Amino acid sequence: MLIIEHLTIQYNKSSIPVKDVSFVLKKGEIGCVLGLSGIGKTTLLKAIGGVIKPTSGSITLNHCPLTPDSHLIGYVSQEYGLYPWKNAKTNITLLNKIHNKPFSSDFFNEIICSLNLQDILKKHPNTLSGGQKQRIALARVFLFNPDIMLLDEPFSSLDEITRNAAQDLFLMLWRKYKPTTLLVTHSVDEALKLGHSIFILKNGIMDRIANPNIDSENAVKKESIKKYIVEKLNIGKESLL
Amino acid sequence: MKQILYKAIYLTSAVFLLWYMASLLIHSKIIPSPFVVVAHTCNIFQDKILIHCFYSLKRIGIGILAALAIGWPAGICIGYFKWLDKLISPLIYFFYPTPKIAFLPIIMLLFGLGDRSKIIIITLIIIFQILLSLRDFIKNLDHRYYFPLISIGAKPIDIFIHILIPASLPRLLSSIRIALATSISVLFFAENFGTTYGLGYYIMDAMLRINYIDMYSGILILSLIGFLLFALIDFIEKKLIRW
Repeated sequence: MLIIEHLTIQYNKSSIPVKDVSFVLKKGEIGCVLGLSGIGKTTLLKAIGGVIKPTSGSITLNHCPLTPDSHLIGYVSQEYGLYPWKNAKTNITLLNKIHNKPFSSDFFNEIICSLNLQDILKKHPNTLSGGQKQRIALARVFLFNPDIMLLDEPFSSLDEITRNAAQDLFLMLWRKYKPTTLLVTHSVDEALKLGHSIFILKNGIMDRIANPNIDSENAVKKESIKKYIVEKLNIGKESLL
Repeated sequence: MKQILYKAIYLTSAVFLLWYMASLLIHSKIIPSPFVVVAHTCNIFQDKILIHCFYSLKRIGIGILAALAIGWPAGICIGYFKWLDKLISPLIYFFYPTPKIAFLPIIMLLFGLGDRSKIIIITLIIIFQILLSLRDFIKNLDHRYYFPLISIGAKPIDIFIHILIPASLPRLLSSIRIALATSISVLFFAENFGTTYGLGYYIMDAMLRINYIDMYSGILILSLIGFLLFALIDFIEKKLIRW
């Protein structure tokens, strides 16, 4: 269980992207942090991932302070965070290699086959499409088998059709291994599709909405939650889609 | 390789055409015909010029390698660690614009008249170009590359090996290209002091003897060495950088 308590991140007097944020994400669930661009979602994710130090507050995972030394954190940054100078295979196995975390070839093959990456393992990311890069980033983080998975707008730069397919692939893999996952997005539809809980970040403050519809296709209920979220954010509907 | 060959043919033809036209127009000993110079160069290359080529190449090679060995890691470190940047960059800004060639007499007094002082002056002059170019590149490198590794507790050495060193390779090669042109000019100047070997010495000695054909042979060979070194960098880039 991920517990964030009174988390504040302050860069200077006028810039406080995260202000006294508290929320709980249950073990084996997906939480979606939703908010407009530039609102501080990535900053929050960076603090949880140990990339930056919060000004105050605590972050615990399974009742232990969450740090890169105490837990396995799988972070997928915006634009996938792949290294152009490494081929697909070395990108995928990099986190395990650096962390000295062995993996079985069966597990590797299972992930590669699930994401249909067999034919592009020797290629460099620059020669691949956005969808293929996205699948490599997912393969890397799933192979690492982390205690918590942090995904920063992992599908945002894909076109709608590829995005839907990538989201389905992600859900398929996620249901297999069920890692606790915190995903940052600015798309209400994405949050409704993927999240067990939706956390709305606005003006540095967080609101939680349980999303009971993740496994169902109750369109009416989904639409009402969507309407509620849009009202909560107090913005035009179009800018969130 | 084919591209390099085409480049060489194009370059040689263009230079020779302009040179030949100039020799016809001026019609003086000062600008001999390129065909006469090439024929003369072929005749004297093995006996007279080869030894000078060897010395010049040795000085340029060691000078550039020394600048790389210091400038590459130092540029990466200064670009990556903000505290080091704050500490070192003011010194770089102070020393980079000072004309280091003016220190040649002092360097010769300190390190002798031999190869060492010439190599040191080449290194001193080009190291700043390499260092600053790499520092700026690393400072502007997309920070998102670091996040996945920092999140798993990777050590700075891992970040160096897996991100900073490979990411900086293209910039390193392009800064070597710039440094190479500078180092040839510096070499030419430095080889006029305390040595009787090197293409700089050979060219100036021929000029003082008013042997213009010998002088042009030296210039031709020095230019050819520069061209081949550039071609070598292109070749290394193609082999090393596949992204």
